[in-house]
Amino acid sequence: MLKYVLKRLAMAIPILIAVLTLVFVIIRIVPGDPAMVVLGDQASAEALAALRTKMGLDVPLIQQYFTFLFGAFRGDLGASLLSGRPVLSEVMTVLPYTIDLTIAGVVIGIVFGVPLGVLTAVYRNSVTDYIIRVFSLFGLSFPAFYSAILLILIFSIQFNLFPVISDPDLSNYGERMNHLVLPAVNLGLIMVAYITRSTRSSMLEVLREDYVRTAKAKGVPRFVVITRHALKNALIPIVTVIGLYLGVLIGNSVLTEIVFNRPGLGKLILDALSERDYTLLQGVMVIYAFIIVIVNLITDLTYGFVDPRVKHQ
Amino acid sequence: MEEKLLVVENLTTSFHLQNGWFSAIEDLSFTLSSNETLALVGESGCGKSVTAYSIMNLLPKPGSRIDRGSVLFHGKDLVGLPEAEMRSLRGSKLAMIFQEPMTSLNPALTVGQQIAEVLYYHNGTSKKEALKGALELLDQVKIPAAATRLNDYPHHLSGGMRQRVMIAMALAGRPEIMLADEPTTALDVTIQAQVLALLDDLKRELKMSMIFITHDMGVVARVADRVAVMYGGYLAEVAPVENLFANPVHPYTEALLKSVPRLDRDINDLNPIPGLVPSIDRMPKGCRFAERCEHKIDVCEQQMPDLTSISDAGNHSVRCWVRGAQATSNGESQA
Ligand SMILES: Nc1ncnc2c1ncn2[C@@H]1O[C@H](COP(=O)(O)OP(=O)(O)O)[C@@H](O)[C@H]1O
Ligand code: SF4
Ligand SMILES: [Mg+2]
Repeated sequence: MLKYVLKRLAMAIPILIAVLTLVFVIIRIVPGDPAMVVLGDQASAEALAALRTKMGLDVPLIQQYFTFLFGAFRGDLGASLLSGRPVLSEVMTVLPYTIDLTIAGVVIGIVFGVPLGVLTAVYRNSVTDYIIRVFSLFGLSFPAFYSAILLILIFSIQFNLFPVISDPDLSNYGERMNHLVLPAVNLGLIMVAYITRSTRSSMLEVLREDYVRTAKAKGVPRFVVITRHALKNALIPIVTVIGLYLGVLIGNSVLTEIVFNRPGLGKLILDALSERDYTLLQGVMVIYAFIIVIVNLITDLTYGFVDPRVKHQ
Repeated sequence: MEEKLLVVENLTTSFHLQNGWFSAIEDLSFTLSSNETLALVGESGCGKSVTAYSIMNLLPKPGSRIDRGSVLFHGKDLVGLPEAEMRSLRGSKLAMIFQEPMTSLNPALTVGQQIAEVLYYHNGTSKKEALKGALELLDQVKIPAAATRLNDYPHHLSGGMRQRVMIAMALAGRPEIMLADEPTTALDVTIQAQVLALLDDLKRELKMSMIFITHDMGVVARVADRVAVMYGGYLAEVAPVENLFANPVHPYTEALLKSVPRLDRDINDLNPIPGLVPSIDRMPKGCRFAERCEHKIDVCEQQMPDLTSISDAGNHSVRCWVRGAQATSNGESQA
C-alpha cells in the first residue's frame, strides 16, 4: 500500500509541472501589457518600466518561467497587484469557505445519489426507475447559476426559509449551517444526479456478476446481496466518478458562490477578473489546478482502499 | 420403496426472448434418493444449468418463468414457495457450486468472510464463531495452511483453490443436496481429478445427495450412481450408471460415449457429434435430436417420442422412436 501511495505521489509531480507551465503560457499569451493594465494607458514610460521590473517581467521569458515554477513550489505565488498581500494568503483566507461548500455538496450527492442509484438498478425499468432517471437527467441539464436563482426564489423569497445571501463567517454554528443549506443543495443537486446515474450503471453491471448469483445461492438476505455483495463492488468505479466530478463541482461552486454572494474561490476569481489583478488570477489558477491534482490523488488512493486487488499489488 | 429426497415432475421453464417465450427445459421428471449422485449430462445448451437454477429458484428475474411442474423436496413443493422460505433452504439444505471459480467468488470479500456469512445467516452463529467455523471448513476441503488463507482475497488463489473455497461455502450449511454445475470443467486435468476425489469423499463422509452436472462422460463414470442424459431441454435417457455404459440405448447417449477420449483408443478415433444443439427458439417439431441422428425415421420429425421404460426393473428409460421400440420386449412404441 505504501508503495502504491509513493508511486501515485511521484506521478502527481510531473502533472503539476505541466499544469504550472500551462498557466504560465496562458497568462503570457493573453494580449496586453500587464503593467499597462494596472497603471492605465496614461502612465509614463518610466512608471511602466519600474512596475515591470517590480513584477519581474523585464528578464528573459525562460528566467521568468523558472522563477515562477520555483516560486510556486515554495508556495510563493507573488503578491496581489491590488491589495499587495501575498496571493497565497488571499486564497487561504477564502479557501475554507469553498471547501465547506464543496464537501457539503459531495455529502448531499453521496447520501442521496448512492441509494437512488441502487434503487433504480434493483428496480430497473419500473416506474420508480423512470421517475428518478428523468429527474437526474433534469438535474444534469440544469445550469448551476440557474438552479441557484430558482432555489433563492422559492426557498428564500417565497417561503423565507433560508437567507438570500450566504454568510459563512457567522459565529453561531446553527446560523452558519442555515446559511450553508441552499448553496450546498444547489451544488448537491448536480452531484446527486451524477452519482445516481453512475451508481445505477455500475450496479446494473455488478448485479449480473457470477458472485452475486453465488451470494443468492448462499441464501443470504436480499438486502445483504445488494449491499455487501453488489454495492461494495459497484462503489469502486463510483469513487472514480465522484473524484472526476469534484472538478466539475469546484467549477460549479464558483457560480454558486457568485449567485449567493458568498466569499470563496469563486468570488476571488470574479474580483481578480474585474480588477484585472493578473498575479492574483494566475495564483488562483495554480491553486485551483493544485486542488484538482490533490483530489485526483485522493481518488486514486481511495480506489486502492476500496478495491483489495489494488491494495495488495 | 426407498425414500425420495427430491422429486422433480414435469418441470418446464421458459425464457423471454425477442420474439416470445421459449422453453429451455420441457416436461422434466426425475428423482433423487438419499446418498445418491445423479449426473445430468448433455452438451452445452441442453438445459442442465436451467434445471439446477429452476430447482434452486435462482432463475434470472424478470425474463424467465416456470410454466408448470413441481420440485418436491421432502414432499414440499419448491415451485412457488415464498422467497423467505426458499432463502432459508438455499445455502443450507440445498447448496450449489458453479462452473466458473474465477468469477463466482466475490473479489471484495475475504475467503473467510464469504464462508462465515453462510454460518452467520443460516445458523445465527456469532461473527467470531462463524470465522472459526470457516477455518474448519477450509481444513475440511483440504486447503493447505487454512488459517493463513482465511484473510486472503479470491485473487490470491488458484482456480483449484477457489473451487475448494466454493465447496467449503456450500458445505457450510450442511446441505442434504449439493447441486454441482460443471464444478471441474474450468480446471486443469490434474486439479480436476483432485476436486472430483474431494467431492466424492465429502459426499460419503457427510451423507449428501448430489446432482452433478457435466458434459463429460468420463466424469460421469467417475462420480455418478445414476445418469440422466439431456438433449434440447428434454430427458433422452435415464439409467443406473453401469447400465448406461454397458447398454446405451438412445442414439444421443451413444454419440456422447463415442466422443469421450479413452486410453485404449487412438485420439483420431474420437467422434465428436456433428452439428449443434438447436437454440431454444429454433427447436424442431418432432424429436429434438432428429437433425443430427443417424437412425431417424419419418415419425421422428413429426412427433416427439415419450420417455419409455425399457427394463423390467423400471430403472432404465429412453425417449426414442426407433431404439425405444427395439428395446421394449413387445416391439411396440408406447406413444
Ligand atoms: N437467462 C437466459 N435467457 C435466455 N435464454 C437462456 C437463459 N439461460 C439459458 N438460456 C438458454 O437455455 C438453454 C439451456 O441453457 P443452459 O441450461 O445454460 O445449458 P447447459 O446445459 O449448457 O447448462 C440454452 O439454449 C440457453 O441459451
Ligand atoms: S426419435 Fe428418431 S431422431 Fe430421435 S433419437 Fe430416436 S431415432 Fe433419432
Ligand atoms: Mg451450464
